[in-house]
Amino acid sequence: MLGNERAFELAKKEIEYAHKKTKFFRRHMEDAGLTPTDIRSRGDFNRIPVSEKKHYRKNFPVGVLAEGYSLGTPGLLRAQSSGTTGERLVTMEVGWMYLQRAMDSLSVNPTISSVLTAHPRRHVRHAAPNCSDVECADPHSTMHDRILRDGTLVLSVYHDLLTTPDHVLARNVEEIAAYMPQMYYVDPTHLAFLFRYMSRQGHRPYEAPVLASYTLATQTSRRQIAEFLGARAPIVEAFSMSELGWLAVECPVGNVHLNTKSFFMELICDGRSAEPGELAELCVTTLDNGCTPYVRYRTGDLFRWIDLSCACGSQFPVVTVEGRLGNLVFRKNKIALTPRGLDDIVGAPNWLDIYKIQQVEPCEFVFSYVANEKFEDGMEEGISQGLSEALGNGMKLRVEKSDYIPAERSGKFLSFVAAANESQFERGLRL
Amino acid sequence: MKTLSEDEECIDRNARTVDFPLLAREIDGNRLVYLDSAATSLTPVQVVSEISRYYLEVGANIHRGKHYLSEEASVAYEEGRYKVARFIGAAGNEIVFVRNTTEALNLVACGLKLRTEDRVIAFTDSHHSAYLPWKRIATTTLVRTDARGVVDLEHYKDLLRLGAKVVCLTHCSNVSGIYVPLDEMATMAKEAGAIVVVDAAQSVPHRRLDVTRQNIDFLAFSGHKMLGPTGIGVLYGKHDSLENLSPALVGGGMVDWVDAANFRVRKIPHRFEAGTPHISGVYGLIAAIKYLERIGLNRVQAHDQGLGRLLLSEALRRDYLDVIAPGEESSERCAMVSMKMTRHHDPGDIARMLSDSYGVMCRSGHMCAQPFVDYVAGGQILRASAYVYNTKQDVMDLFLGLDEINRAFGC
Repeated sequence: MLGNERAFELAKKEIEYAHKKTKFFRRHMEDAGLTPTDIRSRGDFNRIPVSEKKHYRKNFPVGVLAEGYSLGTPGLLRAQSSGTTGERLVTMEVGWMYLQRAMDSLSVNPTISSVLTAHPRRHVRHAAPNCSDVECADPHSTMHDRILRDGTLVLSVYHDLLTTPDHVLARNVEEIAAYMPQMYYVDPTHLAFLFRYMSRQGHRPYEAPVLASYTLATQTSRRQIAEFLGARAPIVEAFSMSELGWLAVECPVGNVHLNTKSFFMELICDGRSAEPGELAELCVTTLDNGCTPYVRYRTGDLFRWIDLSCACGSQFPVVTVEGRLGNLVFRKNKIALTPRGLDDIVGAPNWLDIYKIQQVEPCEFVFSYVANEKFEDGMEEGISQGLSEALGNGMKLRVEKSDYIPAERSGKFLSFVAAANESQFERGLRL
Repeated sequence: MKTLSEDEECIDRNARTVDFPLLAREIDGNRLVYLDSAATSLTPVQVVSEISRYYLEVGANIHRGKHYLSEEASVAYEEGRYKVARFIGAAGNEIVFVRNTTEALNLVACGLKLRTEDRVIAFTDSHHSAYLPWKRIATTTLVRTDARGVVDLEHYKDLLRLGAKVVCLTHCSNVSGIYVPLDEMATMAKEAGAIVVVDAAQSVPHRRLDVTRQNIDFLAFSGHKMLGPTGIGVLYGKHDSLENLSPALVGGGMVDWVDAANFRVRKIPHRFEAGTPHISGVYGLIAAIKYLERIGLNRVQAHDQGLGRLLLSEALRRDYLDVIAPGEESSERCAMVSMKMTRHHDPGDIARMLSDSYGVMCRSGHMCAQPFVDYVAGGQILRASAYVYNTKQDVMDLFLGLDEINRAFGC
């Protein structure tokens, strides 16, 4: 458990609040034979069964909106998630609480923090469209149509990223130049794709800090963004969930810090608090007595806690980001590799534009990649050899060079897609 | 590519009747031998299970609602599109789901808005579906295919020189089983400024095709010839080519906006899929592709070539058989042979006898390529075509049956 005493005391109050105000959590505790008064110590906290996305999906809105709130309460923000894993969820929270969580997370990075609070705000968002590809991805919309009330310009993109036609990319370039954003709030894979187009067309970059979120930033994407923007524009990785807001942000030193001020955070491994360096799933408890309280909510995101004092000065705990639980590679029912581990093997060679490692069968993987003009035959061998060695005996690896790799149906382009690890996923915390 | 010997099998002997229970069936005590896969292949249980799973566990329509099941079906359907795209090297939005190859070719022929005076080149051995859609609306000329089944490339060049708006190539003939040199012919057509359309109904099931390496604008194939269900087919169209194609049908599911004055069609490929599509068919088609990929397309192709050689050589060494369009020594061919008995002129009769007395299922008729079949055979023919589940023994059972039938004619 990573929170300090203050956070723990607030977490206990959140439990009381959720128990008193929401039907779902009351029943959740009753099913475990617990009442809030049973939770006195950190040890007691472990007795509360974890909650998952499916609980909140099933109980929305009646069971999870706290008494006193309704769907029509002014000031509520509605967040709709397709879910990185394809599991969807609608959730609502008080708008300023989302903002406070973001500001607390961003306290580790003053550059981004100042951009976020700038007024008027001019951000551009380039990420998977928040809609079905078929029903509402209207390529005829204007820039004006896509400027949100908070000053964010949403750039057009196709669900299947690599099929986005050049005329849409050209329009994005024009819109960036016209809007002069203070920040790119992006999926790094999407921004790297756009920047590849701009580089090919000889466009000059519009310099602004990059806040990379939505999917794990591969080293390949980061390299391309950095090369195109230049060193003066920082690239900052941030982790957020539609239902919770911002959870962790990268500091100027390059370390990722969990926001233990807005949330009570647990890194859980084998049903217990993880030791430093152990692979663990992040579980989160909200602390702000809001519209939708979450208690011990499984994020499905994996981290390793690094027990160090960061040179940036933040007291928030430092973690390494390992990827999504659902994309772990298992071998003989043991974790063989995390998405981060796979990305470390691939690295960021200058000939590589984009890639995907997909587990198509329990013992078969495909490494697909799109290469650029710097590629020469054989350059991929180091990666395929490294992957083969890391995957181990009995795992087959197919290597495919391609001009096209499909995105996920969520619209996100995941560089690591595991075969259905449902049995392991169900075990969840028993990493 | 490794060549399989004639004795090697594509699917493990034990798995064959498990995956294809139909092959365990007997016809009046005779083991069933299915040699009509060029018409329709058999369907493995994995494919049937996926079709059933859609109806029993998902059931909902796609892209028409926000409920859980609709989203699940929509995701599977669109992931199916990506799967097909990867199978032929295309991008996801270059795949249109249709009923079959025939519908795909008609969609292109109608969508190009050809005029009567526009010239289209097809081939003497084209399937009716690769000929009639053009013949109906444009000036269609056929490239000669000789009695051996070999395309006359000089004639093709001559016709290209006269100019053509469209060339519709048949990658593999459904009569002779002979492949044309697709790269070369597509490139020639593009150099002549033509739109290149490929009927790949008989090739995609048997070999890996990468459309990104070909000068192809459109390519069509059917699920039911590659272990998939009937009623689902694929039209591949290069992005820009699809953008220039008009939808054949209008209605629900293909528009972004409709008002009293106008409507705005959806982006490709959705604008070509009006109405509720064959959702379970897509589930089944994806299972079929996965089945083929598990075997390995190289292995499928090697097996196909091996059985093709065996079918041809066994037919050629029987003097009571006329092999229709046997090709040249160098001809690439699939596991198919068309033939006639020299002294018995009713292939339908032979097909019935093979079926009822020997359990061997073959096709008889004009093979939907009547101009060519009439030209090379003077009438109907008998065709045997094999696929991944067939063995050397299946081929030998066919010819043993034919040998006996021939003797029954007193020859």
